[in-house]
Amino acid sequence: MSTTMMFWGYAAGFALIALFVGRLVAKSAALARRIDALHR
Amino acid sequence: MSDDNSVPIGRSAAVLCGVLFLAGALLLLWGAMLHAPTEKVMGNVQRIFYFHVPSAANAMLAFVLAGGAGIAYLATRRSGWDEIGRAAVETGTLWATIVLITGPIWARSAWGTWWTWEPRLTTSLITWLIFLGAMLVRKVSHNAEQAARLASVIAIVGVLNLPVVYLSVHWWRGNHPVIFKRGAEGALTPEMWTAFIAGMIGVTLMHVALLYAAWRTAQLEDAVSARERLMEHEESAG
Repeated sequence: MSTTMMFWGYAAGFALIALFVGRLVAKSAALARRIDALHR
Repeated sequence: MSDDNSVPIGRSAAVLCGVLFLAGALLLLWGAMLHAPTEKVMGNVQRIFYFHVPSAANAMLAFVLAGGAGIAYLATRRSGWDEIGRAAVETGTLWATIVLITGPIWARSAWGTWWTWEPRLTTSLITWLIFLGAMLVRKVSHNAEQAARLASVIAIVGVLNLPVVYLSVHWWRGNHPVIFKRGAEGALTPEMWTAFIAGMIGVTLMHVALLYAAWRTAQLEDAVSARERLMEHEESAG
């Protein structure tokens, strides 16, 4: 129980960070494409 | 935009962010999983402490930065302050969410319940909701400047709530453990202190990397908006 809960605590935390990074990468890539299109 | 347009934060900065983030994550995991001893009463679930407390400290740091940037934005109306504030609210909300998830997971094992409406938990939830509000106000508003003003005010209100979160355990004496107080010096062994300091440094390194990336993305967002406004103006004039 104690070890399983520890695992889920760290897994949930790093999953949230991964979601944050994924969202940031997708957003900045879309913005870079948009600014390239505007410059053309 | 910097040295390479295909990577909005710049290729060298992206590599540096990646290295900082990875070093931080490894330091945290080394301290919590390899260096810290297993706590005798709670067992392995106590290792959540090395992630939970540094996340709370970094959430507070980001919220203070967001509040400071909010004050500076309201005083100067310079978009640079709003970009810092936007990034800080985002990373602060991320760390606060981690606090609100890892805390109940620890509590389920240590207290036998996921949640109680005790002072530290309740005030932390209120702070999280305030900063979530600062993020959501930008999503729902059609006027970016108005949204920036409102988000700045909300961030300042959120910062005013932080001392209440910190002092809640002293004022109302809930169930939440208080490790850092007079008389609790022996609560952590020297190995646990080392793991805790490694966790603080590790989470802070990860935070610096994420905050920088979020800030550069906010800058890029404003650059796109400015370019779009300029083109609309040129089209209407021409």
